[in-house]
Amino acid sequence: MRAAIVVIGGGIQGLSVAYNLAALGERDVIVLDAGYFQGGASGRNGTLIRGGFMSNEWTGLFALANQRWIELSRRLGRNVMFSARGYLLLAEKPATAANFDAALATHRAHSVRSHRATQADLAKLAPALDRSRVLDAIYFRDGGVAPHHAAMDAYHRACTAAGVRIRYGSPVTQILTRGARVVGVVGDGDGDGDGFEIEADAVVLAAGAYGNAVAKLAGVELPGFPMRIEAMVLEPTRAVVRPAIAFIDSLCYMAQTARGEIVGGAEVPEQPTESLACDLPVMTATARVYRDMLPCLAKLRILRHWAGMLHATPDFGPLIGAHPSFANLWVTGGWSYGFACAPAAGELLAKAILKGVLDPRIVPFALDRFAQNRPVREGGIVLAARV
Amino acid sequence: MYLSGEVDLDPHCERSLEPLGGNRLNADVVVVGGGPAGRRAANESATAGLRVILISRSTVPGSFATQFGVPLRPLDARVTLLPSHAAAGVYREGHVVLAAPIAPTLPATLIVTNRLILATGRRSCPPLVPGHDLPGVVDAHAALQLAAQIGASLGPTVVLGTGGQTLVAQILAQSGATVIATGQIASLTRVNGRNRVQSVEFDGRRVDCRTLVHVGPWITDPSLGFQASAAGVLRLARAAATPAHMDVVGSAAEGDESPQVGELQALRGTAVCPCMDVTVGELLSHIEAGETHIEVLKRATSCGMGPCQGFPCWELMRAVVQRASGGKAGYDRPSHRPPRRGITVEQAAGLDGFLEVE
Repeated sequence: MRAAIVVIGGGIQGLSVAYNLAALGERDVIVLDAGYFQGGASGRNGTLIRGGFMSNEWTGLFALANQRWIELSRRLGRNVMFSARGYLLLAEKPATAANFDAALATHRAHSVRSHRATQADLAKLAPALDRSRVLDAIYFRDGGVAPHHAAMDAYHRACTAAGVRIRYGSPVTQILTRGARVVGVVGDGDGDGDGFEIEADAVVLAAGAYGNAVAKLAGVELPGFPMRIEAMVLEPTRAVVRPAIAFIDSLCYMAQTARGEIVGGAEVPEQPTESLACDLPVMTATARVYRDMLPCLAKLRILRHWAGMLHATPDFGPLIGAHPSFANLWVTGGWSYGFACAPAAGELLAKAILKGVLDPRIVPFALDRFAQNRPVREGGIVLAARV
Repeated sequence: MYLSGEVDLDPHCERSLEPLGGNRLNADVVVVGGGPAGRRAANESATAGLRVILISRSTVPGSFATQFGVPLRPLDARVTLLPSHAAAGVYREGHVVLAAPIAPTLPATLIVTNRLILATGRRSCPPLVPGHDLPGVVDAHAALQLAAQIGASLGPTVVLGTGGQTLVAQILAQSGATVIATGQIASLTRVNGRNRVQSVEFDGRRVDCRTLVHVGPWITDPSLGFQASAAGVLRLARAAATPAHMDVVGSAAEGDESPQVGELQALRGTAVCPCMDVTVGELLSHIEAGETHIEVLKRATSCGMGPCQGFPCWELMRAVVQRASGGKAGYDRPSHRPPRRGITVEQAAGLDGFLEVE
């Protein structure tokens, strides 16, 4: 078999790259995934979306992503259920609040619609919030949430309609290389005997937490390590919290879904693990933040708690671009906010692959930035690891 | 679509000044379930000089066995009993157990243990026939409790089962219930009624009644075992293995009977998952479009994502998928996630800091 481009990974990153390749005219694309549809982080994340962060680099990329989410249903021809219900970024500590002026200026520079939310604003935006604990707040009016089942389904259908071939249960077991180029992949069809070998002009690595394991098939590594993240959902209730909220200092995020469940999670720095079993400290830490910051949630029952895996890089920023060792092995990985950024990352990476143009918004996230000692410092994310 | 018991939250409510707190206990053995098998396991461990904690959902452990007329041996005085608690979740391959009190106003307990023994028994799985989710269709456990403990009037009652129906009918009759017919659950084809049960069709006949009691097929809730086993650890890569420090005893270890599922095409409008309004027809539409992976079907339909935690509706979903796909479905069941029984945010918050982060 042969294909112009093989994408390894059928999560939202892989599907977004595949969709954008097809939209730019390259329809000879095969997406291969070892697991099942929505089985990885694309079906396990918090689904929060915002355009602004603290750093120029993150804001540049996510400003585009937020804009694309607003247009995505029309583009894909199917409702991704993006709900621009707003997004609050909260500081509880002076050191965090001290960065908010600069952050707002960065947002303005990228045309992200954000403003400082006063105590009076908060009383209106999120009456459930214990405002006495909030030192400062930034409100993104275009931020919001999109349920993964709707977004993933829309991407999947748009890809299929464009002629992209998508195969789940199809793990890649070898990446074939010749000199400084990759030339194809070999896989085993998940043990059912349907092995495959596909020649390709280019390979895109979009394997989420398994990015490093797959990169090793080509004899190379990606900076970073796999890490478990956990989230939980409360039983549904009528709307009590409209905007999505990130508590930067409590390392916690939450949002209420369209059907009334409160979804969110706190980050507890733990040793990196490859287990998908969730652990009790994350549930209790999340519950404590809810009880303290949103007291009315205290009497709600916890419905479910689960884990997902991501690939954490040394600066928690994504890896986007060609691999330094192979000019035609493209990577979109190292994501922690990958669901939110997928529409932008897929679009810019597809342009880089087909037109050879590196958009300035992805250049800072090049794979060799750690070797070049140019990590991207971002203080506005909810993530923690103990390494 | 269900809503929580707290649909009308007051967003302005203030934080309680008295945090609820929590408890942490250490044990050599945790036994879940206070029936005959759980008591035997707890007593044996206590006799061997081990620190044993027994978690029971009932105020008096073993209430189901008692209603069934099974004699219960007394619990060894050295066993620490946690009555009126649900084993809400197990973590770290069964070494950490979360016990949530049935009362939401009481603190929760986390237990660190060397061994875990599941004596959770089996539950009667509702038959997947039209009308099975009407009010008035109850399992044997609930019927016995309603009749014997609360003295509720069940009205004219039909008892169908996989063998235990005669015994349950006798006990119900002794409690004053009016049992008008008994029979095999496999012969049940339909439950009729508008807002509650008005008649049932079985054995080729139709019987007017107010209550249908199902006594089997008997199935074990797989949730805690799944959470403790490798099936829940690396689901994308590895198959299930029960850890050596975990045992399943009593009827929970006897295996499952097959769920009673009618002719699929006649069931298109029948609910598989009443919490999320998922019908057999909705599952079939995905299966007919080529999707038979049970995890994907769960995500596409939300089947089993309500407070029942997929038991017993995933058992029915699984039976539907296996039959409709000719046995080619992906995983056996979607992954069971904790907590399997309600624990409030306040109760969970009360345990924060009680367990070292790994």
